[in-house]
Amino acid sequence: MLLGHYPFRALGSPCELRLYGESRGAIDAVAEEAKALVLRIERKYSRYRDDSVVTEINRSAGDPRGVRVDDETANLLDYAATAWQHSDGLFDVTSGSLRQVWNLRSGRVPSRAEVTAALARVGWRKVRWQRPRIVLTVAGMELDFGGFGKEWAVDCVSDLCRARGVRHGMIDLGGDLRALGPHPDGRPWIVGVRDPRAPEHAIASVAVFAEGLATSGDYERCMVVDGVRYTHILDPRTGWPVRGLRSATALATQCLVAGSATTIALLKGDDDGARFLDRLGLPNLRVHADGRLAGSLSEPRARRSALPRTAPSPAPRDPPGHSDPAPLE
Amino acid sequence: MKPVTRAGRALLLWALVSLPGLSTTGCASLGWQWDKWWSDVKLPDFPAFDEYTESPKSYVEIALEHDFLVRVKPWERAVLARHDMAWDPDALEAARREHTFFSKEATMPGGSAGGGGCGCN
Amino acid sequence: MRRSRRESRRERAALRALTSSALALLGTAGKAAADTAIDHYESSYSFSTYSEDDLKKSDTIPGGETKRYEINTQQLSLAAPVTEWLDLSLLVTHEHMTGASPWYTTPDAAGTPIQIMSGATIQDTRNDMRVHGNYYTDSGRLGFGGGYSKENDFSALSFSTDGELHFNEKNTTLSGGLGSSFDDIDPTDADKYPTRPDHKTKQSYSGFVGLSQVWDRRSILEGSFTYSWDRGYLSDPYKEVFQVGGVQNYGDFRPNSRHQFAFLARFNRHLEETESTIHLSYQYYIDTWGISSHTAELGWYQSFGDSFQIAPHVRYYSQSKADFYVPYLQFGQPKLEDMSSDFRLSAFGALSFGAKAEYVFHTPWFRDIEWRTHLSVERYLSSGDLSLSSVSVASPGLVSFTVFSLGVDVAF
Repeated sequence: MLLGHYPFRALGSPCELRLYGESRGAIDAVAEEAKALVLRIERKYSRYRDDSVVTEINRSAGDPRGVRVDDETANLLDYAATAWQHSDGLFDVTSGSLRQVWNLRSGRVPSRAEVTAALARVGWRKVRWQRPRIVLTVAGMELDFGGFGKEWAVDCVSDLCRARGVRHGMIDLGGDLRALGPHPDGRPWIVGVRDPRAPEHAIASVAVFAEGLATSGDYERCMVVDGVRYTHILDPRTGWPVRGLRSATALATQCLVAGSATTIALLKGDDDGARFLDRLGLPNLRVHADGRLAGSLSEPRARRSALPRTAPSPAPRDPPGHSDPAPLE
Repeated sequence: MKPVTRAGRALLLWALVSLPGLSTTGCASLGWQWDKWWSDVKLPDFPAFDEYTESPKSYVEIALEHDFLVRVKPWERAVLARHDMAWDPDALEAARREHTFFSKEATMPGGSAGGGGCGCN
Repeated sequence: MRRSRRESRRERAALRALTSSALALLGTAGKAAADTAIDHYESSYSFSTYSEDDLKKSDTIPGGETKRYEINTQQLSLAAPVTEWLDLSLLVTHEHMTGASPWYTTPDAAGTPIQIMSGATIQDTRNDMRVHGNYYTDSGRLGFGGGYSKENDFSALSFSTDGELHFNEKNTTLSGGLGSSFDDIDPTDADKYPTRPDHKTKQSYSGFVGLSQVWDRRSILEGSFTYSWDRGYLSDPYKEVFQVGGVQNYGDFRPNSRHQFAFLARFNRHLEETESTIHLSYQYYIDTWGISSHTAELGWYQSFGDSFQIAPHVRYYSQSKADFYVPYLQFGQPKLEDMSSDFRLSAFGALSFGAKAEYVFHTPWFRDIEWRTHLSVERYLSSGDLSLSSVSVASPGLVSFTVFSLGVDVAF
């Protein structure tokens, strides 16, 4: 069995495919197809692209006729609606327009009035979604699939690779990953979970056999102003960044479900988020606001990081802790 | 009153009253969800206009199409598709019982357009 | 502790919803399907038998016939897909009846009516055949049907059409239908009995409209209204009305027109905690003959695993009497334009309870075949005491019986 290692950049993050196969040509072809799939998803759903479906929907905000969407987009919207319903409104894909007031690169904290004004354009209730038509009823509203698009792409690529016969491998799109199957000898993939306050280091590691794993953290994109950390995860009900858990990691069959669980957990805050993850029944790991580790994956039985911490590097590509044979180059 | 009829009435009363309550998410949950249900109610203007196809809606559509009536999504229909969730899980038995009761009582069975008679009035 | 258990249930429900939604999104759960024709063949056979309880000795003349009907029924149905949007089905019924039937009621020494049975043992066979076809579109279904029924003294030809329209992503369904039946009645031995007409016809026209709504993942409710108009010969040729001191009996005279209205509500709910499904239904009926009735049914389908199910059920029925129902005519009472002593038009109530046991199994022969076998028993009791309205004198002809039935359904 050969291992192919295919790094590339998409969805605004470093991505890697690790696929096992019988012949180099075969896994090269699968990797090409997978990359093309990820790029297609990015082209279709990135709100930063002029030709994407999301931009088309966002442009129609305020138009009562709305936009007619295809089946794939309809299924995504149905998923967004389900997640919204089951998270008491915390998981809300319309919170995209809040980025206009929360520009994390500027280092500027908006005023209360600005946030309140921006909130008028936020809320799934202001969306009329009935297959196949979506109407954003307030002008200026924006949909953003960034909250679950990457995890969904991971699942799509995994399904594609499985359909092409790849039974062992790991799909990693910017930290959201899914194992197609363990290494051919049965060893699991060891994935390191970043320390929220020292993201180049691992605070723990998780053994993944054939599940999806997703992490949400307050360190991914944030700004620190006057010693206060403002993360990119904004509560759609208040318009302000969430405060509580530093990061949450979950394992689920679908990376999409794991990702939604961790996003919702972070949005719920320290105690509620922890309880939410436990009650869901998914194996999880979380770093609380006081820095302590908790969750079923944090138990000593689960493989804690026994690997030495790597030296800090400016832009690490691998989450430290990955253990795999020398990639085929 | 004969014992069997007393028992019969008691049984019926008990069943009608206790069964919704017996269900752990029975009447109590229906009540608890009621305001959640109505908070999303949005009745269309009359006469209603389908903005997408730019044609007036038929009266039937005006009356029946409401957002709050979309209670269950297609992938949530696993339980509704159960064999025992059909109105008549056993079509043959339902037809036979209907015919038997019709031949002993004066009531026609509801819910379907009559097809076929019998000599039993 | 209780609160956290309920909240745990919420989270588990959330996980379930997210997972199934994710699966639908990833294309593994199948698209929301518009209605399509059945995709497999189905065939069912059932045999049932019941004998009506004998008349109580006190309800008839001394030494009179007390035996009533014994009925055996066999049913066979077949359903097959023709194309993706068309399917057909056929139902054949063969029924054999023997026994005596109620003839007229007469007062006993105390003035209480007693039932006289027809002396001759009746033997009758009923054959009934119905076909039905369904045509499916994106938003609903259209059905067509016809049937023919033949007995020794009766034949009927019927036609019907029905349809369904779906709204709100198939959460709301509007259904309706029209039907008509054309009956020919040729009573046996019409020459021997002066009150028996020779050849009569009857027509029946009916329609219904119904609305069903999915309440939540595991509940559905439906309300419907049915109207029917019968005209022609609506009387029973084999029944008579006795007059005290009369020379001979009058025939059974019912109006030649009848408008019937039925309002039905039903509700099904599945309880996951106990793996059971409840069926509840209630119907209110009223017609222009003065009869109004209530029918309430409750069924509890209890599953034990995937293959076994026991379903007890109970049915309560109560009707008022027809305006022209008379057990008999008093001495000197003038003949009425409409009159009948048929127990089926008197005021009474009925309670029936029974249970069905079902066993499902699969055999992987040329295709995966699903077999459903069931055995059921039901006991039906009717009496004036069971009626909701007060009944001064119940008809002595009210019947009770016990049904045994077994059947098998095959799907392949």
